[in-house]
Amino acid sequence: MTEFTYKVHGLVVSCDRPLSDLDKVTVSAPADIAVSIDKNLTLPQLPKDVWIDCNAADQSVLMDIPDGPAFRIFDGTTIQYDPREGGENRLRAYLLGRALGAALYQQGRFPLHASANVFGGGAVLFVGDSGAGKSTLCHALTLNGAGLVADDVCVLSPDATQLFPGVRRPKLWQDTLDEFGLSSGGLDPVEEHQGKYYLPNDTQDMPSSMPVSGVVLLEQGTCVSLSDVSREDALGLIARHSYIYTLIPEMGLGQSFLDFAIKLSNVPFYRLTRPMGFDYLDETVALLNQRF
Amino acid sequence: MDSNSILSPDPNIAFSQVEDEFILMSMDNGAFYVLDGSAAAVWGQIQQSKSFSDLVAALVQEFDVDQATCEQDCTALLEDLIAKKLVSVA
Repeated sequence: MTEFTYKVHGLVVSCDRPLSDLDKVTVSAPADIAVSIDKNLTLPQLPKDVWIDCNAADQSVLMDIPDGPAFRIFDGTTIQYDPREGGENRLRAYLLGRALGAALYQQGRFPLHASANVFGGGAVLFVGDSGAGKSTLCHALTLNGAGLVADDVCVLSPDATQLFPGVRRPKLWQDTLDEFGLSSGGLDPVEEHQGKYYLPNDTQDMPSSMPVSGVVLLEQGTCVSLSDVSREDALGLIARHSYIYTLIPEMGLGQSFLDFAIKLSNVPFYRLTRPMGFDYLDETVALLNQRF
Repeated sequence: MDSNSILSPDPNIAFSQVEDEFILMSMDNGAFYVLDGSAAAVWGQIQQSKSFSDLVAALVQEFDVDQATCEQDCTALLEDLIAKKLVSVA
C-alpha cells in the first residue's frame, strides 16, 4: 500500500491517502500517528446532536460527523477513518482538525484553536471567537512577510514555550478574497456551496519549531489598540480557546491541562481591538510589527 | 459552619500552587480562580480534606489571629468558595 508521510505539529503522520494540506516529508523514523481507512467502523448510538464519544476507560474517541466521515482515534497513535459521504475536502478538514486534535489530547498535548504567524523568529498566536477576523488578519500578515505558522490549530511543546508548524493552508471567505483582490476561480472549496476557499499552502521556510513570543486575543473595538491581559484572564482565554475543550474533562485531563495553561500564561498575552473591515488592516499589521 | 464539617476541594476542580497562590480551574466550564493571601492559606489547609475545627486550629497556630475572628473569616470565605462550587462540604 502506498503510504504518504507528513510532518505537522512536530509529529510525523503517515496516511494511506495524500493530504494536500501538508508538506510531504521523507523520514526513516516510524510515524508518531498512523492514519488508515477502515470502512467497518462500529459507531455507538449517540444522542441527537452529539457527534463525539469518548471512552473514559481507554480514552479512545469515536467521531460521527454528520454528512461526513467517521473516525476512531486511539492510543494517541492511530486514526482510522471511514470516508462515508461528504467528499475528499470534508474528510481532510475533519481528519487534520478534530481527529488529529483528539489524538493530540490522547498524547497529553493541548491543541489551541488559534492561528499563528512568525515575527522575527518568534511565533505570535491569534485567538478570537468565530468571526473575529483571525483568517483575514493572518493572511494580511503573511502578505506582509510574517509567514503563517499554523492555521486554525496550534500545538505547543509540553512546556508551552515552543510552537510547531501546523497546517499552513489558510481558508478565506469569498468576500475576504474579494477584498484581497483574489479570485476563487481554481481554488479548492472547503465545503461545497459554503463560500469558503483554501488558499495555496504558505511555502515560506519554517524552522521545525520556534519560541512563542505572545498570544493575542482579537476583538472588535472603536480604534486599533493593543493592551496587556492579566494572568487570570489569560488562563480563561486558554481554556475558552482550547480545541475541542469538552475532551479535557471527558478524558480526565483537567489537572495536566491546568499545569499546561499555567505554563502558557507565562507568555505575554494581549488584547487587540480594532474596527472590523479592511480599512484598519494596514494600521493593525503595523502595530503588530512594531510590538513583535 | 459546623465544626465537624469536612471540607475538601470539589471533585470538578483542578488546582495547582504557583509560589504563594493557588490557581483553581473548574473543569465544568473552564473558569479559573486565583486564590492569594488568606484564601490561599485556607486552601493550603483543606487541599487534602480537613474538618472546619481542624482548619481553624491550624490557622490560629500559624497566624496571629484569635479563634473567634478566624472562625468568622473562614466561614465567610468558605461560603463563597462553596457557592462557586470550588469546595464541597460533607
